[in-house]
Amino acid sequence: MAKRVSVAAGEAVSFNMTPMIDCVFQLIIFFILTGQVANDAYAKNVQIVRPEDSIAISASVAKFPNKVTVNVVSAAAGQKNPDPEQASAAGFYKINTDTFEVGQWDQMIEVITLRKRAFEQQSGKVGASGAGGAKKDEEMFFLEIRADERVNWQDVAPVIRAGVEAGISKLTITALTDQD
Amino acid sequence: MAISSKKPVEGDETVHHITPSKKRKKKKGPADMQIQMTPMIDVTFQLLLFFIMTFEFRESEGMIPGTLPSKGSIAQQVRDELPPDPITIKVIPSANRLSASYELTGVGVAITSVKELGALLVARQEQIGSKEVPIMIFPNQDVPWGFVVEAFNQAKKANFTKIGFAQQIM
Repeated sequence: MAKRVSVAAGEAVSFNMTPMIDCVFQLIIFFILTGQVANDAYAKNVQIVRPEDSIAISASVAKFPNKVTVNVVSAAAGQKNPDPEQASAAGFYKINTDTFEVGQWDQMIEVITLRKRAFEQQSGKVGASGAGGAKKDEEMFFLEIRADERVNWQDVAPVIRAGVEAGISKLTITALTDQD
Repeated sequence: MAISSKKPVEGDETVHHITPSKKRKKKKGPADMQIQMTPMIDVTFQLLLFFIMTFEFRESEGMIPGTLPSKGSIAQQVRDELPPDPITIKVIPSANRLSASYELTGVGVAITSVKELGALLVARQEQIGSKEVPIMIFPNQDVPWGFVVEAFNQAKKANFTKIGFAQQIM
């Protein structure tokens, strides 16, 4: 039973706020450290595969800063109990804020090419083929495929083809890292 | 505001004379300073609420690097560049598409376990003694992307450096 504390009339009543403030600050620090800033490059509701014995390099460690990320979003993205048939089809493709319907390959190639050209101009490599063998990964331009694991291969293959058409020679596949 | 705990005594209303030295002493005494905590706590709770409401648990994503063939007629290029005996991995989905089997060159039976595929690839790599032998992954049109990544991951894990997708040649 809670202990009763008698307070004389007119006596100041104050409670100790310090532990509460300590806890609140601890919580805020936790949320600040673990929170991730929203990023246009990564579409929401994409179910990423976790391969067995995944060799995926954590994004914070990987040195692939120059890339164009193509999100392949399932037609059933965000649904709780989706129809497997629907989930296996691509709903749309997303490159940052640009969205493409299935079949808009030419537009996708154009955007990927523009991104690659912008990178080349920025790094002073206009006209470079990008296939140099001695270049480090940091100097190369990557095509990142961030596809829903349920989507059929036939809906992901055109993205690879678009990357080839845009003249990109490096690829990264997004996968979840090993839990161990 | 703090309320004095000193009980009033009857007949103590007399205004006493305070000498200047007493006044000085009073000034020097510990100041009754109180930091106003309320606004800080308000803001802190607002922040905490914001973080709780917007927090989204995200799993740690990573990247598996690879290469793409150079631009041009891909089909022709593969025909010209590939040695006659690349290692091929066919990815075939099950009827309900919840699992997949893998067919590896030189292995007569379909492989149903990804770990087994990985072990066979490692053994093949040790047998050949070269990482340069190309691996061609042939996924079926209706195989889920997840199983294609599984095959790619195992080939990478077995230290093969030239891994490509064959279905892009159309």
